[in-house]
Amino acid sequence: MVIVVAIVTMLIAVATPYTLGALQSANLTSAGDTLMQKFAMVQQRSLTENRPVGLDFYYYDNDNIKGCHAVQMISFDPATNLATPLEPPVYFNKQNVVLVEGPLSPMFSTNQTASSTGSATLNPFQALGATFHRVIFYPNGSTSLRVPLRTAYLTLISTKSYQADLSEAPPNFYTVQIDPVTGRGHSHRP
Amino acid sequence: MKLIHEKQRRHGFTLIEVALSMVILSIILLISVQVLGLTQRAWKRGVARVEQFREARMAFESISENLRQAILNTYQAYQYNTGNTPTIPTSQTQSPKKYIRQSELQFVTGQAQALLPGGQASALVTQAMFFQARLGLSDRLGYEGLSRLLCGRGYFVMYSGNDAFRPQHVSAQSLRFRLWEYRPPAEENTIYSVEPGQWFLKAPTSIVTASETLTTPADTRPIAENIIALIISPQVTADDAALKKATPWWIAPKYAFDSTELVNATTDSPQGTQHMLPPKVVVTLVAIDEASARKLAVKYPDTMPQLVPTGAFTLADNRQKDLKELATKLRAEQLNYQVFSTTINMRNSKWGLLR
Repeated sequence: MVIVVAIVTMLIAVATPYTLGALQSANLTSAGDTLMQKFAMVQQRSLTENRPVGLDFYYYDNDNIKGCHAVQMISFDPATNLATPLEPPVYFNKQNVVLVEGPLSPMFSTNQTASSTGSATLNPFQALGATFHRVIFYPNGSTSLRVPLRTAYLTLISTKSYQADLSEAPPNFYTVQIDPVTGRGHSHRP
Repeated sequence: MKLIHEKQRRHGFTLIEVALSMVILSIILLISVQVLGLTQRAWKRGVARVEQFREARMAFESISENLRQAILNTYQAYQYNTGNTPTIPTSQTQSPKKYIRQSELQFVTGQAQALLPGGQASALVTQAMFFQARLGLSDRLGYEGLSRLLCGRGYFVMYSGNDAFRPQHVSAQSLRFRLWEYRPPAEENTIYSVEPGQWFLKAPTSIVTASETLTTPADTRPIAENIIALIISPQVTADDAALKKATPWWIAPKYAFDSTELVNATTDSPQGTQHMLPPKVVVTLVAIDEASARKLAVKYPDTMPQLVPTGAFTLADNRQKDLKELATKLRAEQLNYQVFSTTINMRNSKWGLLR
């Protein structure tokens, strides 16, 4: 009996890292696919409703992990710069995934206009002291992004791979690239 | 006493029992791991296909939506001359000859290599299409609301790399068949000042480059990867085809249709199909998934894979046959593919004028 228990324990010990790795990978894929779907939905909604629709990215500290932990679809009034939530937020940290800042996600690093970034005004993010970056999709398919295609991307990684100074991509990542002109999304995986 | 001793002995396992249970457990674990592996591979393949074809589907919907809005703004005008500027008199005293149908816009489909000759032609496959529509595209900030600005638009498939626009941390270059969208903004709408057929010639060279800047975004942009064929067939309605006792694709038997050309003229209709939009356009996209594209890249590392059989999609009569041959070829290469096809009713076609 002791031998059987020992063997089972060994098997579990061997299998656990692989299983955890697979689970992390599945979580990353799921979060990335959700982000891709959100971009597609925002663009589609803007086209069908013939008005600007945006996606807000909320950045705040969560368990000492800096980065974007949630996104939320909003309707945006260009005349008043007023944003109204259209859906409940989607939280990446529930899947142990974070959208990192820095060289892996240069999309919001330059050419931000006043209406596309700032302190969060909607709760619960205002209470968390979050800042937001906004991507607005227009009915003609274009976006508010003012960066060339080669830098218009964001990268999701597992929180297990998170480091404060992440200059190189971890072994597994999910990069979402958005064409600022066409709004077309494309994913890159290792 | 002997009975109690025997009962106590039955509480343990013999070595054979333990060995047997270990063997059975190992077999079960082995089978479970294999099943798990197979399921994971199938799941990954499925997700890759859904993801890939979602991109193709979105591009297909985008083409359909934009093409439906194609416009020629046809009008009746005095004809003074023949040639490219028939409605402009050569002198103040020149008298007009007659009324003609006229438009400065152009709807054109045909073989991509014929429409877009030049250095990039060898990388182009199947067909291309260019037209104008009220697509409201402007480079200027604050003009996003002008949704009915007249813009040129075009689509073609080209085999190329992604060095110029892939993220820095994605190290592998991917040579792929990509569907490109030519989308000059309204500010570049030079169709009134150039000869027909010229305004889109720079489409293949205007693709996204590594030097693209914020103020001068490239006019030609990738909208879907792994699109191996784009087939555009301008057609008339079944009623019109029956009336003429011809096939619905008689207006473009070789897929080529140019609204500026004086063709299909008859005694009753001296201008034929000139300055007319076809009433219907059948658009077909053939896409493969990323796993298949990677397989192709390994098999053909230095050359463009010839997936479309030579001579295919040159005669509209053979469209179905060519599609079957292409499917056979893709199956032979063990590639996962999907065919998207739809018939678009052109909203601004005034084909009834020909009846």
